[in-house]
Amino acid sequence: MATTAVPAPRVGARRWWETWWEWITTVDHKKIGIMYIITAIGFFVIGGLDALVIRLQLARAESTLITPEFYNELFTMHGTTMIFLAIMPLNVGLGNYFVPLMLGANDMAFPRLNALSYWLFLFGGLFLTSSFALGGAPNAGWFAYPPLSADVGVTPTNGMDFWVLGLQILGVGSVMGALNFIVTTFNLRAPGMKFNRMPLFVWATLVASFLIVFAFPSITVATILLYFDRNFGTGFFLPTEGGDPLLWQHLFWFFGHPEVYILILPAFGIISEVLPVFSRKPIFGYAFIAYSSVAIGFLGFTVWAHHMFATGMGPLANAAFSATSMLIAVPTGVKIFNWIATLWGGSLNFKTPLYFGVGFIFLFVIGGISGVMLGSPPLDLQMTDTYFVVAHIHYVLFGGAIFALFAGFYYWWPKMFGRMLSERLGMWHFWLLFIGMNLAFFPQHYLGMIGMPRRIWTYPRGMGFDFWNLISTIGALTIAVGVGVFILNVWLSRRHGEIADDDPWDGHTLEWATTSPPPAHNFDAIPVVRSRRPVWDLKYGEAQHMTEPRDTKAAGSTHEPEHQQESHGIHLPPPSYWPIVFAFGLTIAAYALLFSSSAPTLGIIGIFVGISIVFTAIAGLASQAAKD
Amino acid sequence: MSFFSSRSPRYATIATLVIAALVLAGCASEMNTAPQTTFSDQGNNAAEILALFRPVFWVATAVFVLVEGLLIYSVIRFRRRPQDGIPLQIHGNTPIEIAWTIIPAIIVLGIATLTFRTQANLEYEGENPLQVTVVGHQWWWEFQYPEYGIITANELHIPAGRDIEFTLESADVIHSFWFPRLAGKTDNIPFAYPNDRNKLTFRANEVSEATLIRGECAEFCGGTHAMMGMYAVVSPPAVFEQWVQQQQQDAVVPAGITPATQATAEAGVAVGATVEAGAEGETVQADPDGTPVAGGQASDENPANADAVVTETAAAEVVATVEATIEAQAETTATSAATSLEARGYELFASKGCVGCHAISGYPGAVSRTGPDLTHIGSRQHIVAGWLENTPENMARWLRDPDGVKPGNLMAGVVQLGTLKEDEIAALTAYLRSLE
Repeated sequence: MATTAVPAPRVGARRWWETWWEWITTVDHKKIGIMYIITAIGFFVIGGLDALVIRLQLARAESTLITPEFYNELFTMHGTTMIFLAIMPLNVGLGNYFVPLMLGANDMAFPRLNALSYWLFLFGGLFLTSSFALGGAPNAGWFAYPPLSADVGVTPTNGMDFWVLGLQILGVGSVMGALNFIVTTFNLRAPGMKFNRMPLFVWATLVASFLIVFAFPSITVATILLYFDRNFGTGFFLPTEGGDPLLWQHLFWFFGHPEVYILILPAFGIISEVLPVFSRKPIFGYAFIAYSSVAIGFLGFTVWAHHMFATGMGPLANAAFSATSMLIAVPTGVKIFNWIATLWGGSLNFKTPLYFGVGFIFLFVIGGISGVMLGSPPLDLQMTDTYFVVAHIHYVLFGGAIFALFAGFYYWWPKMFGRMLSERLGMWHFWLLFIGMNLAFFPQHYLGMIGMPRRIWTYPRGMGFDFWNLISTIGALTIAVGVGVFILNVWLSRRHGEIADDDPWDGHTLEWATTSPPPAHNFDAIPVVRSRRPVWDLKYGEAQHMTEPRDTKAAGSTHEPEHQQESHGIHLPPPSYWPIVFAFGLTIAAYALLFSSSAPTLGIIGIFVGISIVFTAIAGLASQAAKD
Repeated sequence: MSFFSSRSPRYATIATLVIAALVLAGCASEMNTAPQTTFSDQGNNAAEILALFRPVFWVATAVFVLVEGLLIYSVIRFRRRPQDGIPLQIHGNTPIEIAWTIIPAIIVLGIATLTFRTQANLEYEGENPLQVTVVGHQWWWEFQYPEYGIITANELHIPAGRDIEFTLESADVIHSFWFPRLAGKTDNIPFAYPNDRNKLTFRANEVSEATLIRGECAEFCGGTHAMMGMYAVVSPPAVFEQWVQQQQQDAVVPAGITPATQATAEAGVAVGATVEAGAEGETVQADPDGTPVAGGQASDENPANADAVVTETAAAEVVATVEATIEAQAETTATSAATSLEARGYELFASKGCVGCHAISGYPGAVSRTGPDLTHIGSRQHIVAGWLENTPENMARWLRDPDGVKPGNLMAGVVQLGTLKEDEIAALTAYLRSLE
């Protein structure tokens, strides 16, 4: 059984395929988390390359470097990739690795389901990306407004079909993953880990998971209707058939706005972990930060139509959605003050994670302020669909989510891999990213205000757009160099990184109580928790200790304790190849469905084969569960 | 610790100052002169929004300075020093937390109040508004004046100081109607039911002479969304009336076109009709043929065009060049040879199938609404949805290779490089430019 070996950073005598097989069949939340992160970084690079080509095209007026068709594919895929294939899975990857550790659990609640979520993400991402080579990538924007997206007459390539089916595969994985986080958080907390002692990263992941569960049905329904409009002659969104294009916008943004919080809440969580540790202080206003995440989660479902102020909903609807949007700015803004107050009076240990943490606050404040401006319908009428919004979302999602994720990587890397990342390269990484980010995106506020619309392939001379677009492109290239430094840092740390001890940052939470990297079963003894900072308290007193003799009943562990004794008496589920088989079958079915219009017989056979594989995998998973 | 961390604040400061200097230098030069700037209003809607933007911007700036100032201060002030012990373990402070919840709430309440007031000002029933229907097409604009029976494309003429009620619709996908200097954008959504169509009412500021203002589609609409520009010509009411009268006339028929050649042109219509594949019928509210034609006005008395002097915008120089070119052109076209060139173009317009998509009022059989109406294209200052100035060179360039000018545009499906011979391009250019 693969549960026995403590994973070492380097595998010695084993053959390469044994290592690969171990990773392919793993159900260990830590390995799955690492796979999520590596895959998502891969897609982050692909989405970044999309952006670089976009920026090169826009560097000067009337440029014809690429065709408008390709440009439209690039910005659609840049948005789709960064949201669904980079930031979301990076959040899930870190969550996968650290939520069980922070809760004092041995694994996620459903380890095989966890693996399935990952393989669906990988296959869904590859499926979407393969569209570039298979007849054209999605090209109606990541928001896919019909009639453009729904009328095959105006978007004749199968790009949008790829988009719909890809999002279905990814959606299934995301919802499974979210349910897994929810059940894990509710059921697998260590003894004494009450809700109001949970680390704030866990809180944030929990709320984001609920948002996924409630928001994804909306996009799932909408995209299926869209697929029907495109392929089966329905007219849900087609005015020529009596349908309503605005219905899509409501369904999409009812998902789309909570999605923004799905992306940013885990970032809030990471920052709420990093700042206290590097300030040597507790988080300021724990309760407020935790409960405001919940408040943001609820309010996040009431603001969707602020993306639609220009659609002519009328002044009353606009005012109502404006009010809720401004309301949600309050708990978000207050978190900023809590974070600054956490730094205040601390003893700030300026390592790379804190640089990224402070960078996050600095940049997110800018994104928050421009967000309030956009929440005002009259201002929005001038700003929406211009580069002002491009600037806003990048301050929120790049300056916000990505900076927080980098803070998280530098913070948790030693725990995951047992080696430190280089501080020196980390500094280069941070400053290149910070300067590049501001060069690339700050001028875009101004570009939007002087009338540069979004999603334009090029612009005429004499509009006053030239200079700042060039600066923006230089900024984008700077970001690319910064990301290159990060990858170099990761690469070098594999061999040359300083060996990390178990608690290199003087941490607060339970992941620092185990080895770096942790053993397969995480903790030899389930820790008992008496405060919000169990590891800190263990080191500095205040309340006495953490580990007590293992007591599985008190731990509330769902694993039967005595059955199948392995190391330390902790049962871990066996590896399974059924998750990858399931994802593979579903992807085969998706490809077959996609090409069934051009090759009906082959298509139907393909769908049948794909679905058969899926059902076989379900049977396999069920039989394993029965034996488990 | 690396070398970087000890010096980084200085680098950051220098970088910030450099960026700030660049920003100020860059913005000051274009802020008010960029053709589509929102900082210089020429209409009541844009003025209301700018009036809201100013206080909100200063509040935003104050919040930015305060919060970032606090952040930077605490980062510098509380850096770890060698003698540091464990800092005071503060978990929170309820009064402070309540205070900094209430303060942002008050700020956003203030912004919301200003917002709602502006919203109320933006929504109004115009006084005796001029009705204009704006139809977005992939990728150009159609403007219909139902009261006057005028249909034109890509160049919106409006009288200064009078409320205009725009009805926004689309022939295909969603577009967004946006003249930043005049008004905030509103989407042209193709609804199944005409009553759902969006309305937008605003008026342009008073002007002493015709003023050119640039606008653009602001909602991604596929393909060359980027090249879906338009111009508004805001004129004093008297000048606007002259424009109306001029536009209500049928197109000029070149000298030398006899009834016999006109019959040839009509025969060509049959050829052109085959090109009209995929053209969907759309509601045309104004029938140009059904309107009374103001008689007796010679085409050289064309004040709306001749007087269209651009003020305030950076495009003034450009337009001056255009006018010079037009004058030069006028001299050469004064010959009889040029006149016959126009007559040849007239015939080619039918025989090459242009009539399949384009309407020219008074031209037999040219009634299709698939492409822009060309009745008075010679009077427009731009062609290709605001992308090119209306010069003979640009017109020829467009006719020679539409795809090269505007990749993927729908005309490129019919006219490719080589479809029209050079002499045909010259003739068509001459004819189209004569349609003032």
